[in-house]
Amino acid sequence: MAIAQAMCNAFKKELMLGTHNFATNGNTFKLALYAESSGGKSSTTATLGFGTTAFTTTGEIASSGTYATGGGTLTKVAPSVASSTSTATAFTDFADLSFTTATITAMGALIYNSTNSNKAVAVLDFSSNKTSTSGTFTIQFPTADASNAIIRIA
Amino acid sequence: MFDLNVGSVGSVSVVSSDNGGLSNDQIADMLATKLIYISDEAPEPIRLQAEAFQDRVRNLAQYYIELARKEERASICARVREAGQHQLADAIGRL
Repeated sequence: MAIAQAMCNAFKKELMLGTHNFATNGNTFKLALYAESSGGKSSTTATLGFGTTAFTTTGEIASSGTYATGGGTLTKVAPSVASSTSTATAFTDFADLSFTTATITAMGALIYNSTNSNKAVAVLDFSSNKTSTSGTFTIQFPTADASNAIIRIA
Repeated sequence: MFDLNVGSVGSVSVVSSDNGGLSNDQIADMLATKLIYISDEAPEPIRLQAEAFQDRVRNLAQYYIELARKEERASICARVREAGQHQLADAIGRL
């Protein structure tokens, strides 16, 4: 599969190196949209997964409406841990992201850290092509809790 | 040995529209699913009860989203009319 949902391997290592800061006043994280089957700009197709190390323009969709190359900036939900009295899951999340008046066909997305050399965080697989035509394209993030949040460490 | 069971990535969903913004139904659905998470593994009686509650929240949200949009349009109409753009105000009022 050309786009496979994953927490990027490099990101796991970079967590230990203190590369990524998810605090609300920390690094800037962005989300870029990707197409498969030559749907990206310049007829390129995306290959994203656990091995992705940084943002790439290969397979990224073209600018349309409020979507500009490189994607949109994510609003962070500050990291939290569910409980301090027992083994618990730490998590962080983002607010929903919308692109308006946009004509988009995307199969997945890449979350990356634009503050630190565009290093990859996670690949999101939409399972099928999602489209908008001169409309709104919204990525709804899961509830920010230990069971659902976008990034969880157990 | 310290064994850290790292890393899960949650699931996102995509909501999209053609020739305009998201509908009241779509926004209400986004709110209800984010506010009330129902586990696939929940026992059936609990799941059914949670789904019923989620439906009520969805319907209530839909009503107030519609009301908010209607009231905002009314405010926009008033400002546009004050600016002397009566035809435009009428067109917005008919939305």
